[in-house]
Amino acid sequence: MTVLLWGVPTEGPIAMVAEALSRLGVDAVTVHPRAAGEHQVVLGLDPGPGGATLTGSIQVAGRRVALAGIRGAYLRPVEPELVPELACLPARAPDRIHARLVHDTLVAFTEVAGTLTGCRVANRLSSMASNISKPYQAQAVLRHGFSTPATLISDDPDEVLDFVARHGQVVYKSISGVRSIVTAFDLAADRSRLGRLRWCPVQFQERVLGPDVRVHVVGEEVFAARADTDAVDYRYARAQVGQDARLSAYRLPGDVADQCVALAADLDLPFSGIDLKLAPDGRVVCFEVNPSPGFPWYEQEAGLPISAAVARWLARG
Amino acid sequence: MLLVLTALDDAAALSFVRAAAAAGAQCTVLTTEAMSFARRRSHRLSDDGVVTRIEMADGTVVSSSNVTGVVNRMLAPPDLAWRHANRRERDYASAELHAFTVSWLNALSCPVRNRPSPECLAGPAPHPFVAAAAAASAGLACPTVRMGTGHEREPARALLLGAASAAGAGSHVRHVVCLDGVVVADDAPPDVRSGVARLAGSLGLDEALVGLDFVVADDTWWFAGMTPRPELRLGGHDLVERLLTLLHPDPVAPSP
Repeated sequence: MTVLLWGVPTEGPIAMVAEALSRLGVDAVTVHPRAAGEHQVVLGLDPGPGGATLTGSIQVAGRRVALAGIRGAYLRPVEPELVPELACLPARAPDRIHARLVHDTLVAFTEVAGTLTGCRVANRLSSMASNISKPYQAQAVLRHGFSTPATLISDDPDEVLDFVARHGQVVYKSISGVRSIVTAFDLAADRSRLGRLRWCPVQFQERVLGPDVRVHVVGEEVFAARADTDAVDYRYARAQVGQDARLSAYRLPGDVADQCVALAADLDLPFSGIDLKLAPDGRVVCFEVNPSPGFPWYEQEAGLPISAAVARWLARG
Repeated sequence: MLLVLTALDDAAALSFVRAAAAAGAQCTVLTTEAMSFARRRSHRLSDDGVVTRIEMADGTVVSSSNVTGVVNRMLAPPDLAWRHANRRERDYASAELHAFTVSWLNALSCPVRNRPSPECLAGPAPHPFVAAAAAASAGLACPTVRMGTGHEREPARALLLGAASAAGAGSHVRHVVCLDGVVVADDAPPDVRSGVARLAGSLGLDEALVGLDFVVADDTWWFAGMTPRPELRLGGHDLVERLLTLLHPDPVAPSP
């Protein structure tokens, strides 16, 4: 059996999962987006009695692997247009077209392989898309029994001011997949800018106090880390309060762990990073489910064996 | 209020609006263009649920409580107010407005055909290879499909070309409308109807309005693709009646 690693091999998550697979003695083939020119790939669907069969192969660095023999796939791909060597080329340049073909064929393979061959994929790109709309994802979060922060997405300055008056401390951030830094709303400084909301609704949320907990779900295993900091956004604690958040392993209550596993499964995200906040009033508030978690910081600082769990999960395909 | 969400140039949607009016059901049409310049947009979430209110420039108010059904044909988010912004800001605003629309329509408690998927505002849009594999498992005739380096570039086109190749000379393309797993076309063979019902079940299309493409030759219907924006006019009066029954709570007068 072979596991496909699709991403930049020197990037932390790919490198750590590759190392973990190596420790398990599992064969891996790495598809580096910057080396797409050296890859050849063909994917086929052949109809037959009872359904279709997956055929085809990928050739990487002179090695050919049958796609049907790939039992696990870990995805952190880069769009060809964002690869530095290709970004500067004209859209119709042969190298760009070839890279796009490799990319699109691997997308097709990873979308369909789970159904046809039982290949384990973490995660299918179509499943990652739930993170494109945070309030949409929040609706799933609510269905799984988590609390969601009081949220207003509005282009009306007066409505925002009412929301701020009601909740006191408020933060604002993006609602799409575009990453943004969670920022505290400062009535004195920000009031004069509220008129700009007219052009596009902006998300405001009650600021929930209490420690952050990042839960990595790998299949049915959970690995939780607690982040302690005074920063509004613990990921950017150094920039916001001058020092990094302190991470430590955290034991989740069993029912919360079960909720996390069920939520990730509902979103078809066998590997995910769930952001929780333990509110002083007892609520377990869920902010979002990250579909492609950058886990090395949590593994290294909190001592959580996440990469080993991902490797084990992939190898069970 | 029966909402029809569409682009200004969507003739199929506007045809449905006219047919609905003829059947006694007035639709409120919100175009992507008009929604791009809405007077006010508000979307609230809490542990108690989701409440949305959109006020249009012409005074129309759309809220979570006054919508009874939605025909959603949107492909692009209502981002035209940003068309002259620099690319970075335009892309950001477009992503935010896409996210807003996905959440709004998925939170509505009334029937919506279709609720957006995160990837496609118009509704379910499984990868063509996933659709083809599901169609094969559902017993529909499926062609051999290839893509990759040295092959066809675009997966939907690869599927269509595969079907055309399997059907051979003298074939023709058929587009049929499927509402909640039921084919709305008089001449679809029984095995195609039952296959489509199974396909709908496996792809989660039990509450979806989609178009299915086939290449037909010698009584064989080769599966060739699907779209969340079917050509509604092909469904005729039957489709209009089915949609109005589903989306409009008031009795609809029979058409002449």
